[in-house]
Amino acid sequence: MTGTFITIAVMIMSMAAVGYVLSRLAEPARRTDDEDPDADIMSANLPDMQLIEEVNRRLPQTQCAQCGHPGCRPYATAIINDEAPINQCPPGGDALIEELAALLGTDVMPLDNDKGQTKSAQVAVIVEPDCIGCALCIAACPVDAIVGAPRYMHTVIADQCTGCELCLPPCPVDCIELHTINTPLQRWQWPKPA
Amino acid sequence: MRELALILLGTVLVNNFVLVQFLGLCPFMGVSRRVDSAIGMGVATTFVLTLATSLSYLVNRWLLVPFELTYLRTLSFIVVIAVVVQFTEIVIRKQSPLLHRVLGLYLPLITTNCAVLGVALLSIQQQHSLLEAMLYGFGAAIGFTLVLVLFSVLRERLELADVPAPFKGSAIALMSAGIMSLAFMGFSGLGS
Amino acid sequence: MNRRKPVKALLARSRRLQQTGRSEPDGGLPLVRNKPGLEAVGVPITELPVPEQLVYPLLDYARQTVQAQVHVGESVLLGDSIAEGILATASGTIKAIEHRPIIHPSHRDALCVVLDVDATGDENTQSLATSDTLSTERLAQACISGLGGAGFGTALKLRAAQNKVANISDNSSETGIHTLLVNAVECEPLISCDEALIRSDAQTVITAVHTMIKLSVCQRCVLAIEDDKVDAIAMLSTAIDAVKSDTGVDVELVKLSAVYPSGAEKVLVQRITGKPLPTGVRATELGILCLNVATVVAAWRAQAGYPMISRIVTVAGSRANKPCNIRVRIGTSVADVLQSTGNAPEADDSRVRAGGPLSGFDLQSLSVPVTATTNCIAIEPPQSKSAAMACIRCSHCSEVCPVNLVPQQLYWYASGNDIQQAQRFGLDNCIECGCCDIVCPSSIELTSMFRYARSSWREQQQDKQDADIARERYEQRQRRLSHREQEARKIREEKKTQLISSKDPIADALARARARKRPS
Repeated sequence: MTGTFITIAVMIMSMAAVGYVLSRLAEPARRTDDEDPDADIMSANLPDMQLIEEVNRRLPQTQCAQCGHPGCRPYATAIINDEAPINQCPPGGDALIEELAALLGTDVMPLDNDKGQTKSAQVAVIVEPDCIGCALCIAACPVDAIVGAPRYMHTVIADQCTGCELCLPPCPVDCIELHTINTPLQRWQWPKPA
Repeated sequence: MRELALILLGTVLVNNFVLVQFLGLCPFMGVSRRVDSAIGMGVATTFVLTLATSLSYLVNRWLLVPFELTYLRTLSFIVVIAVVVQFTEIVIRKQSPLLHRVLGLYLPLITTNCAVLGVALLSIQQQHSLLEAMLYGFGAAIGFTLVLVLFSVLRERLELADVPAPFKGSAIALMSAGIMSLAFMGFSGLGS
Repeated sequence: MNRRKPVKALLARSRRLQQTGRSEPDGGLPLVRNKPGLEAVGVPITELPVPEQLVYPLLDYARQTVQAQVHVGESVLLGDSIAEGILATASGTIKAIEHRPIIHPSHRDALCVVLDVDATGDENTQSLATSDTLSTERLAQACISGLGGAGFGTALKLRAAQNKVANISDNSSETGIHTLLVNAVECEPLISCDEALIRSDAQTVITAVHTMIKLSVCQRCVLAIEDDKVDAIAMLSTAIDAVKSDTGVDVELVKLSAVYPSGAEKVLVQRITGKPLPTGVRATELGILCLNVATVVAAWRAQAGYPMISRIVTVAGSRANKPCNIRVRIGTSVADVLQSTGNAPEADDSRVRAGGPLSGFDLQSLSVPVTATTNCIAIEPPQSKSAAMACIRCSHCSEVCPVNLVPQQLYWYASGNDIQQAQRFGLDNCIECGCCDIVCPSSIELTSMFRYARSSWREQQQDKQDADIARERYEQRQRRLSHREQEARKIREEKKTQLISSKDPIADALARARARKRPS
């Protein structure tokens, strides 16, 4: 009886040892916090970082926070950490959901209507007669698409504007409007046949 | 030489472990949604099966039989398989985090894949030598991968097909698997 | 068993093909010759009278808007520049710059320059100086663009070909063009403008080709034509023997079996060189300059000082009363063309199409202007299309595909919105020729689905680029803000240490205040 137990114990321990050796070979030694002062929680987990980057690359980068996260990268992090489903992004729409489903091997689900609707392409336009030059919208724009300085006229660079609407709430005189862009001719698409 | 070729032929086609012997159906149904994850799973299982069968043979021959502990066969084989699977999982996580995420739970579930334990035990039953055991495990895994990839291609097409509502999803997949199984049973008698 | 014979036969065939450099097409359809509107050989091409108004869309070949270089009310002369790549094709006054309907499958309007014609001028109005040799600058000045259908700027194409490293096959790196391929194939039914040009004056064509040989400094020149254009071939052979040139390069007349769509650049290059073009690689990158025969003639005329102000247009179709090939001033409306040639559509349900039966599309308005890429106007009866049925997987479509695709699978994935998978099956290579549509027994609209899938993919790629730019700007901004915060933190830390280390903080503070006030 003791022989059995000893054998089992020896076997388990030797297998564990083999497993430990093999895993050490597979995993390179990580730098500890003492050696690398810039290391933080985010940089320690390299495979997850790669995944987050992959998901982030597919998000529309409007940084609009409609998904409930303060930007596209936090949303990507939440998806990888299984804290958020893939259907929270209105600017991405159904095409994004299909792409993320294909990437991560999950199911396609309909867009979460509580987060908003997918809108057609739009740009913000500042109504210049009403602008007071307070620079609050400049601070709000996540892609620096508004040009101006305190007490000088502000204007939106239309090419850089993603239509995220983050500049509308800070404006104290509500002088920013959203205009729908007409698709230029070179971006016209053939319709899908029935 | 002829015996080795026959072992390979037998495990890949004639006695295919998934479609003829109906082992390992869980990853077969679970991972076959897309071709790339199917190929990844197939490669992982090949690695695990070959290594696990060989190690199991060694454990049996040098530990269990001399010390008359053959009643510990199942337990010890499971331990061997678990270690190999854990190693495989770590390697995959480093090499391709995306594949690791897509395979998800099915990667550690290779441990409980009845095909892996089944191949190890059947190999002992058929009194293979080390080389034969290795080839047996390898052939079984190749057969598994072949069928998994074929099925995943089928399922990708089924995804877009106009399937009647009662049959959508797993139902049509299982029916297709059954028809594939019929086809593979046509290999019986090959090589004799 | 004589199993070796097929292999031997295949090897012999491939050796033969490598020697001649001509391969049979992999797919394609040998369509019956249907070229109405051709005059007798040697008859010059009728010139259409210039209308009172000419309209020029402010678009380049990629449909991007170009800036007008004139303003309303300005007087322009024939040959003056109206915008980048667009010339005034008659003298007159700019009436307006406004949105007008244009020839485009979307049936949308675009910003156009409208010219009221005062003096029509003619083909021999010389607006540029004659030069001894042709140069790329002259091509750009004369606004020569491709007359084959795509309308790429010829100067750009030439420059790209000259700058690219050529000859991937033998791993040697030579710069420049080694083969000039003149495309006189014109494979699509109904369209016969290039053939008409050759039949009217083959000597001019060959002279023009020699000029282009000189400009491109090539080692080989191939003039490709379909073998059923018998009269044109005879005229060209005579002209090649007659016209002497000092370039040392002879014009090789290659007669290809008439298979649609051999006139497409990708397919033509494969037939001439025997090797298919790799995905995404243009012929210019392989050192082959492929130009339409009408473009070459226009380039030669540019050397003589005549800008490109007109093009030959075929008017044909089963409801055309008088199919013909006429020289049309660029900017003339389709309505004027049809009226002047006696082909105004009589029945209410006649369709007027721009382009050929396979590559063209219906027009909704007849007041659209002819551009440099309008090769054909067709008047057809209403379409009688049978309803599409389910795909029976017969694979006729992949047998006839000239670029070796599997339309069956492409359609499957495109209709299921899995365009990424369709891309993996080679959707990028599709030339939208329509061969698969013709042979499909279930009458499935394959080409329309591929057009949709390709334009959808282009749109997705463009969106991705925009998103990447937005992401970079955002990350740049984040870095800037965090950098600023770090700097501020550092200054605060320094101040704190200063305060702590100073013996008499009040005196120090007073000293600092005094230092700030003092003008330095």
